[in-house]
Amino acid sequence: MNNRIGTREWEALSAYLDNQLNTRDRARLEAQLKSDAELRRAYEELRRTRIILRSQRRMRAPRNFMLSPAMAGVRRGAAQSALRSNPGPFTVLRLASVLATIFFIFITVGDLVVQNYGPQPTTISSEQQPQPAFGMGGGGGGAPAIAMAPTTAPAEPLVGAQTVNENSASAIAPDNRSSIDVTPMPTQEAMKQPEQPPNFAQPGVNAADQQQNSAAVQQRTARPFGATLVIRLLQGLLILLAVGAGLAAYYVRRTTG
Amino acid sequence: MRSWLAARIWTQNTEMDETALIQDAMRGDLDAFNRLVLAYQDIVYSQAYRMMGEQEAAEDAAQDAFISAYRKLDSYRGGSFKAWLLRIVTNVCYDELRRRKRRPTTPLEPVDNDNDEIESPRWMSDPSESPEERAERMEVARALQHCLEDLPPEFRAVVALVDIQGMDYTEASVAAGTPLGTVKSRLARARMRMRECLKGMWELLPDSMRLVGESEI
Repeated sequence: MNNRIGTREWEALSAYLDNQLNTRDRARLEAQLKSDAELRRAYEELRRTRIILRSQRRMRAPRNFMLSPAMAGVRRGAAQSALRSNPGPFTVLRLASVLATIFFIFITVGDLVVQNYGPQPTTISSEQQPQPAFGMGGGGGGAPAIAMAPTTAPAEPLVGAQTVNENSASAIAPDNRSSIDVTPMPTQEAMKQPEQPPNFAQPGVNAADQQQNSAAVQQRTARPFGATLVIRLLQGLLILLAVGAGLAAYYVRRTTG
Repeated sequence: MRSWLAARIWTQNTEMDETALIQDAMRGDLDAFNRLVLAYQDIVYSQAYRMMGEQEAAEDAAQDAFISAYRKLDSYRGGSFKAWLLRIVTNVCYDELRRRKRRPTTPLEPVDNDNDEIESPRWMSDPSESPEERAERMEVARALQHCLEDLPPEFRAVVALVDIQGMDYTEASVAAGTPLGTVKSRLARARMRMRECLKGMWELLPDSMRLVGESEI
């Protein structure tokens, strides 16, 4: 029944009932209704359906839906100050996550900077230590002047010493990281050391140049293991706190809407 | 002329009152908001009931809608406050219906002679029942509600807004959150389906409401 009537016709009939057709469409539909009995019947059924729907009285609410302050939450007006003084778990967790992230970045970047560019801990290299076994060997001509460096410039004892004993130091301790290198017996290479570096103990080279040259091969000294451990532990804790608090904040947000 | 003028003045005063109440509510005045709740709770509950088909679910939806409305008052940008509220309650109902679809619960449905639950809500239009039996336990409103529940939620919302709440197309468009053309289309399809559904139980309808029978052609 009414199979002939398509969706477009039904939409037109529905709009016609609500007086939503423009003049042209309205005139066309009215002409169709006069000539088409099936369309007329469809229109009549639709009109009665609409009457049935509109005959329904509006329902009365079975109870009041007024909001209590608790239902309204502490979001607005006077409650706003209470919110500020007593932040919710979401705010606290979010802040904790952000702070932990900031501290983590700060510590990580700071650690990298200190490791790469910061002042190295002052250590006594093997070159500066008395080397009774070959005191006259590796030092070469510059040795006496350099030997005074620790006393005149205690902050940079390594520079001068290293410059002078660069080759012997590399021969003795290639790693150059141990501040308490055990001084082995000089090798032949070390004994030949005065012949090798072109800038070594050249007359007229000032102390600044020597320092600049020596900076390129500055010895690194290892940070105490305890300090590294503490930093790594701190980094781990901070990243855990950042991720954990962030996830908890997300969960709180989801559950409390 | 005088009555028309009085009605117009009354309408304007009501609108001014409503605007003032909304402004107060936006500043955090809960009493002002509750006066709006009292003014609109019947409409909101009615829409929720038409969407959900159960009193308890409709109450929950209406209450959630008012709480949500209070919290979202900042997003109200003027226009029809009724349409804005109806949009919120309609969305709450959509969410709940979707949730039920994902996590179906046991419906309160009748059982058959073998005490087995009848799964389909179309039990009211069971062809094995005589019109007299049906007429005894159903009212027109209930039949109508069942026909409404057979509609997809989007169609149900529009037909409830226009034909039951009495909104015009523009207001319904705001309340349903859909374009005007979509409202027209959905309304036509919903009425078409309602017509089919009501024809199946036309004996229940009063004579004045009965759809056109074969004899009338």
